[in-house]
Amino acid sequence: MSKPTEHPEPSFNTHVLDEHQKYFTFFNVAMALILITAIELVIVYLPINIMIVFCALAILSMVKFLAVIWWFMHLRWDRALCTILFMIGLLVATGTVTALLFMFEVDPNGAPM
Amino acid sequence: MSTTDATYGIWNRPLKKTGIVGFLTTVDHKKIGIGYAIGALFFLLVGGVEALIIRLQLMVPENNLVDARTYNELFTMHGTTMVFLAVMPLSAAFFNYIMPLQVGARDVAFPRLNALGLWCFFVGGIVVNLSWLYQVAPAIGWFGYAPLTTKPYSPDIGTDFWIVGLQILGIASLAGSFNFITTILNMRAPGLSMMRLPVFTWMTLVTSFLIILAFPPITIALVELMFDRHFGTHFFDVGGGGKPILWQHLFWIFGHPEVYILILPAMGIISEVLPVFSRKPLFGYPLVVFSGAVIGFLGFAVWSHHMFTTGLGIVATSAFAFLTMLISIPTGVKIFNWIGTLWGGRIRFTTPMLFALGFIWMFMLGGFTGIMHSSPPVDAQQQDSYFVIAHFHYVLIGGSIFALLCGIYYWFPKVTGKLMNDNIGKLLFYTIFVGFNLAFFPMHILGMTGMPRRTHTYKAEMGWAEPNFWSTIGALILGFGILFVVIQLIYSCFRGQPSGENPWDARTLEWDTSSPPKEYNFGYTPVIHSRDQVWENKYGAAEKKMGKIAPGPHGIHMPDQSWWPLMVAIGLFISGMGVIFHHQPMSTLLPFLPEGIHFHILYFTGFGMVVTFMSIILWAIEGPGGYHLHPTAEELEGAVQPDPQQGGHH
Amino acid sequence: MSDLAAHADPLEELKQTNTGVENKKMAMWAFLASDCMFFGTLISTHLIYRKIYPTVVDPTQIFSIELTGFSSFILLMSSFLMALTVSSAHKGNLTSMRTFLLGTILFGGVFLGGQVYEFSHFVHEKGLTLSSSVFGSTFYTLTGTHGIHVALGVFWLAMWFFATLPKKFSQFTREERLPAQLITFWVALPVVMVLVYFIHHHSTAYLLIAAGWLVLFPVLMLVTTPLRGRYSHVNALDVETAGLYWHFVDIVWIIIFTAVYLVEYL
Repeated sequence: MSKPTEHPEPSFNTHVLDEHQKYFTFFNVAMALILITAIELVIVYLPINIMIVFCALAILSMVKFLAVIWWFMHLRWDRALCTILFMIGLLVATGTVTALLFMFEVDPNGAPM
Repeated sequence: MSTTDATYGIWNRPLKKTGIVGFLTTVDHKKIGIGYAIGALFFLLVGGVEALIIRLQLMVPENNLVDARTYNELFTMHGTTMVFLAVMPLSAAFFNYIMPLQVGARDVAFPRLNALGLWCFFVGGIVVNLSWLYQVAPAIGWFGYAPLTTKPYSPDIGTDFWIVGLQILGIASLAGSFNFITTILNMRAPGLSMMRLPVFTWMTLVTSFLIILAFPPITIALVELMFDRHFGTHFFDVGGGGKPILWQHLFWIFGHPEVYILILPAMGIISEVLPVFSRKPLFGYPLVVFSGAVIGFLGFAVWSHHMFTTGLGIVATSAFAFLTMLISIPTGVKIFNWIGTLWGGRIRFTTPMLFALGFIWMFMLGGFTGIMHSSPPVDAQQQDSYFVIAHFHYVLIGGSIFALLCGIYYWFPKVTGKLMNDNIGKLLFYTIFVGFNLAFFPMHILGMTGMPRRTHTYKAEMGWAEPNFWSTIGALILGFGILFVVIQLIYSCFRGQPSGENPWDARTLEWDTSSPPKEYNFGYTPVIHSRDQVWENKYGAAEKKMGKIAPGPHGIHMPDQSWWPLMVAIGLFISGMGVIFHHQPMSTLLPFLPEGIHFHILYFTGFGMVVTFMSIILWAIEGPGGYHLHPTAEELEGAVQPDPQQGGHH
Repeated sequence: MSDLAAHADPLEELKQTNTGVENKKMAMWAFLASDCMFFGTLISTHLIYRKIYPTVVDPTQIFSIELTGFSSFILLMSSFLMALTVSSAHKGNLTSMRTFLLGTILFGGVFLGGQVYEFSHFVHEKGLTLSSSVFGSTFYTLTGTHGIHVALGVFWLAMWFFATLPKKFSQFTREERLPAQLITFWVALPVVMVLVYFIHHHSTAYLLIAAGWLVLFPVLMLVTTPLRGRYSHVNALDVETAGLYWHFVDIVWIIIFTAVYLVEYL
């Protein structure tokens, strides 16, 4: 309603220009995401050591995950607080899932069914 | 003065502020806080009566006041009621009422979401307690261990009441917490930096984070249990390959943060009250805040200490024992800081101060037994004995309840503008203190001599008769003490002496406004220059005094009232009842109906979901609305006009 | 979403926050943090039972990695379109925003369709049900919960799409490219369904869906009348908030795709 008036708007809108830039960024990220998904789908069938494939899958999906939150979800351009808020949840969740997975062992009696 | 006569959306908004409609549609955080308090105090008395029946049953050996089944129902409902329906909502009452005042905000960030929290709390409380009406109260213990909760072992619908009630209460807590986080981070008055926030507000923030991270696991666990009971899944069903131990993990991933959800608000209240009645600033403010946050964070890393005797393996047991012991450090830091606050202060022994001092002492006793439990071999001795009962009642009554009563006595003048009689208050404190210790101290000895928890009765030759007898006497004294606190509270609402704005000579921002505060909390925008702003206003240097900015020419913006939060809660209630009575004959739900009509889940759940969704959509269409109020000239005394260059900051 | 323009946006003052992050956006990020625990619990339930009973089922005999790979691709693309939607919303370019929003909704719908197909395929041909084994219980609960999240997201985005339409039907032709967008959206799904019917599987269900959508869409246009015309530039924030939710659903699928599907093929 009462906007600062002593600084008139610049003749070109920097804000719109930024959004144009983002279009190309988003496009590149999307292409990378598809490429990574394709790689993931292929490497599970390759006759390589399982541990290597497993680590590769973990890293690749983490890259996808981070790419989406960093670019698509705007964390790159937003206040750090958003990143902090989300990371609190993500870290606690990751820690809990990891700890839980370590505390269960293969059932020696096998499956009941 | 207002633009409320316009119609927004396709529905007329409720405009009446008074009466039943005014309460049912309110979005005012103060009314919502009072709503939480009324509900919580009611359930506190209900849970207290359940506890007293338990104690009367155990008063003498081989008693048969209630049968074993009823006894199981009583301790289940006592635990559930006290945790979810008494202590948490009483904390929520303070969050709602006090926190926005302490940050100098007009209301919370999402006023209608706040109302949804209140109605979900009522609905959840009603659902859980409806099980008494249908005479199928859950008999599964408040942590509902599988496989006891699965269909073969608990075939009646009591467990379903418990599941659905807790689920709806979870929605209430989550809705409130997102709101509080946003309010505290975003809506602080100018100059009120994070490190100037009152500690109670800080603890509200930490508790809200605990709630948003701890409730999802229990939500999932309850969904899985519900699916096991209704749709034949095998999450906790041993015959189908399920592992009951998984329930224990999921429950305590929620359950341990939950106990900090119960105690951190209490610590916040104590950190407010001690400086006021010691006439000193809080000693080591940054450390108190930091240790509160550390306690909250560590709360997620210790859940398995509730499960030491289940055989987690050496590594897990040692790690969880170590992390558990670690928690005593930030807790100890807090206690030393509180003592440091008292040290050299000019102490006034008012009722809130007595409760605060009682808190420190009693909470420490509970904390010491807690440290004992953190050692797995010791825990193996004490697991499921009365020693554990003694431990957590010392931290939950001596801790949480003492602090919440302290908060009631402390903030009552703010909320009502009336005083509670201090002499009666002190008398009630000593009654509660004596009753509490008489009730729970003997339980340490009982536990050490082997009395198991959740036992319906015991033989005379076990030698447990005498401590149990005295414990029951103590419980009765404690119960009457709390009953009289509630009576005094109600009496003082009507007959209390006028208190004035700041009867305690208190320090934080909520005491700057009138008692009770106006609808818009502050007529002006406070500009904060120091941590204990109201104290500095009175005694501080000129440059530390608070500034005031008057609202702009349009006045103060207030959100409109709404029916939709209540409607969403009603929709949830209907769909919850549908889940509970799934697979039951219709006559279970409504006894006057003929037998033979089988209850399909879609009858009610589908309808309830439609009500919920439609209400959410209409809620969105309706928008926050709003109208303007103009404070009187005398309220704005000393306030400067807003700087138009600053983009209309209030 | 409010038509309060009458009194010069009184909410303007409420938008100024201490942190510079708008209230709605902050609440959404807090919600997403909370949702991490929500899905964390579901995923760990699934993985724990896979760990306990490594040989009870062979998921590679059940899964169809081609379909799931395709679904993942679709969801990633819808996430991309969502990012473009938010970008157009901030630019104030309503025409391209509608295009991207429709695309997001359409891809979300395709993902949901794929999941419905997958579930019915598993139940009817592979005999995997909620109660057939603990694997079925955890698998359906996890992916079903994710599916419900997607469905809610589609619903939410659709509400915003309808809000961007003009208030009166007569104004529709005045909007750039709007009739073409709507017709494309209306016809696209039936065309795909009929194609699937002929190419993949002669099941009448596909034809029923096509016919259902042809009827449903005009009905939707009618019943959403109260929503239309409510979108204005201040609502870009709401679209962004809905977008955050949408991207989150996508990243959860990234995890599920790897942890539940792909690793089974190792």
